[in-house]
Amino acid sequence: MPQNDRNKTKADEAQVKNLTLSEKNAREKQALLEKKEKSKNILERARRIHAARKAHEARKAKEERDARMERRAAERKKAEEARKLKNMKNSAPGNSKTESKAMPEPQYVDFAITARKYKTQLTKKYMQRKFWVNPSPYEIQSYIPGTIISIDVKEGKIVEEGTRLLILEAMKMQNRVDMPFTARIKKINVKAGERVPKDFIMIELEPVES
Amino acid sequence: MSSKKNIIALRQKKAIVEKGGGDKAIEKQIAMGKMPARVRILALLDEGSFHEYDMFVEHEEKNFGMETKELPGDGVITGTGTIGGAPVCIYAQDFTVMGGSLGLKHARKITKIMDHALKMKIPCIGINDSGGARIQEGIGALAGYGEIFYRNTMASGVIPQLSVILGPCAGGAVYSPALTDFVFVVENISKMFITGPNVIETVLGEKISQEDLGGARVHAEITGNAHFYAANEMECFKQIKTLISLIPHNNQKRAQSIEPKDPKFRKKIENIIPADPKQPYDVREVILALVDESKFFEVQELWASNIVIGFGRMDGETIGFVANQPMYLAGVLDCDASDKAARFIRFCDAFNIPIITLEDMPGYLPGVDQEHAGVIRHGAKMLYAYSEATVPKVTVILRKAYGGGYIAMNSRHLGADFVYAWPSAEIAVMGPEGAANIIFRKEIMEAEDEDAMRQQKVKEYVEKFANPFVAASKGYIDAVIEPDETREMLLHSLSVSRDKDDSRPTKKHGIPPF
Repeated sequence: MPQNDRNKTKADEAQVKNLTLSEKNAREKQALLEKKEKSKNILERARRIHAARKAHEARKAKEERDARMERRAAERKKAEEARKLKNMKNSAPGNSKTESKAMPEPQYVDFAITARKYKTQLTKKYMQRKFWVNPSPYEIQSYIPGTIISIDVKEGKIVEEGTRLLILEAMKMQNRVDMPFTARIKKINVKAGERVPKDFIMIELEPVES
Repeated sequence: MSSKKNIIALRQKKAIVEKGGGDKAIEKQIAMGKMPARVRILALLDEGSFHEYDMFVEHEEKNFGMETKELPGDGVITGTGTIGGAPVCIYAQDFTVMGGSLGLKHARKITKIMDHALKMKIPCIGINDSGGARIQEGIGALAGYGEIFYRNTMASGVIPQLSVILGPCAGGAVYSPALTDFVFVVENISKMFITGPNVIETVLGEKISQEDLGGARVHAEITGNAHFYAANEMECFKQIKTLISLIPHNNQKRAQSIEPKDPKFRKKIENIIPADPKQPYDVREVILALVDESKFFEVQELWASNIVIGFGRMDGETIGFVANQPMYLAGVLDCDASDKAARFIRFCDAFNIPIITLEDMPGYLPGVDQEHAGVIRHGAKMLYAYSEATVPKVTVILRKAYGGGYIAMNSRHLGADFVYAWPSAEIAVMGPEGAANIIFRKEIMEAEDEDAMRQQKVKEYVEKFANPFVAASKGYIDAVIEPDETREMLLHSLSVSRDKDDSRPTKKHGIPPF
């Protein structure tokens, strides 16, 4: 009986071993698939962000163009008014004082809040506000303005996650910037000793196709 | 005879101190377009009212060659005087004496006059014109700053504190003005920053001029650190005099009242506001039509101009006004507007000044920049300030009062004493277009002509809800009034709430969302 038992357990063990092996293989396969899926997703996201940024830039350029046109129109109008005023001044010198004192009519723009557009003026601060751009995971940006002390990677190399990319010194503190995930270095935009502002794209990455 | 000799000696000694940094330094100061410190004080205070203390204070530093240096008054002039008959404590840093740099004794002179102001319960005015800490004194200078900040905080809400920036005010020095109630700046003269352009350039490589970094205009328009902006020093002093006449000496007094006068502004009040809720107008005209003599003293005119704050008088008494300004950003509430209003409300509450709120706002400003800037936290300050205030609080809803904005602008629910609405008021959870889109989504989607259906539903909603009567039927509004009746109604409300006595639970202090 005990002999039999032992045999049985041996057979079982072998079976379990086989099973675990195949399971391990399957898991590895699964992980590989997931990894591929993940990099695909990231790639897609990067493309989306790129498109969004392009659209944003185009929109901004259009806005700028519109603003320029508007400004020019306003300038023309102003010049015309000034000419008119001058003419009036020449014709009726007694009246000119009240004319020049009159406040210029403020320029109102459409301003959308929820589903309604209001006529109003914009403040300087509002016009100077920063537009939010979804940051791409493939761009390593400086999170603080500072000086690049050293760069530890080269363009074109595949770098493992967690490897030191560079050292960014700011406020007398040497900050280590690490690789966020395994990828290839596409481009390095900074040199050692260079000073960079905030949100500067220091290193560009590209996904590793496996 | 000997007594005469002593008197002459005293006069000579005084004359030396009064010269400050000497003729050459004073000439330099004038060349920079600035008045000397003593001239400033004399120009600001009533004639002959200034009395100086601590003229002969000397520094005690013995390092870096300081032991041989004599600094008249240690670079600061302190004293008391009156402005329009109101007693004030005043100090002015003297840039001609070692750049007005702050050493320990210099700071001790300031803290001494501040202690005096707090004890005598009278306003304290500081004229800042200093290159910063006196580096030779090292930690002594830092200690001095700290002692000033501590007193600023202790005096906050007890006596009015005014800071006048008439020169550079850099580094740690900026925090004393920041802790005070009102900051005055003058074009081309005032410069305030934590780190100057030089440091920014060496550390970050960004080149910027002093004026662009922390000039008067920047603080009046962009940062909101300054409350009053003037083209020159005399205009600035005029602003200070007006302000002092409008605020009480301390938190146990009321502001001085004057003889009541009718408004001068003759435009009919109902003609100021366009009927179309999308059209802008200047809400300051409404205020001018309400206050005595049509005199309105606006605070922080250039910063966050989508909300208007300031002082006016009604029945001769000082009143604080908070009003949405549809002329800028449609009068929305955003981070800056909430900060601006909340701080003003707290000042009025601390110094027994009733608050009148004029409401016409479409809601909070939508946008990523606003959300990421913390509009939740900033907006909450306003709720806190209104709820906490125990002075008489009256609200008039002129036109739009939508959503969270309706609650925030001193609604009945936050403890307003009186809430009035004009017949043009729209009190609703949101604008009619937005509300119809949500409530009638199904009907609109299923309709053959979506736009026509939407228009119809919006119209229905406007008829049913965009009016003051829904809120009035629930008692959230005390009266629907004609625009012409507004002044009379406000005068009456203020006169009946003169002795308002409202209490709050006992606490050490609240925790406002700073």
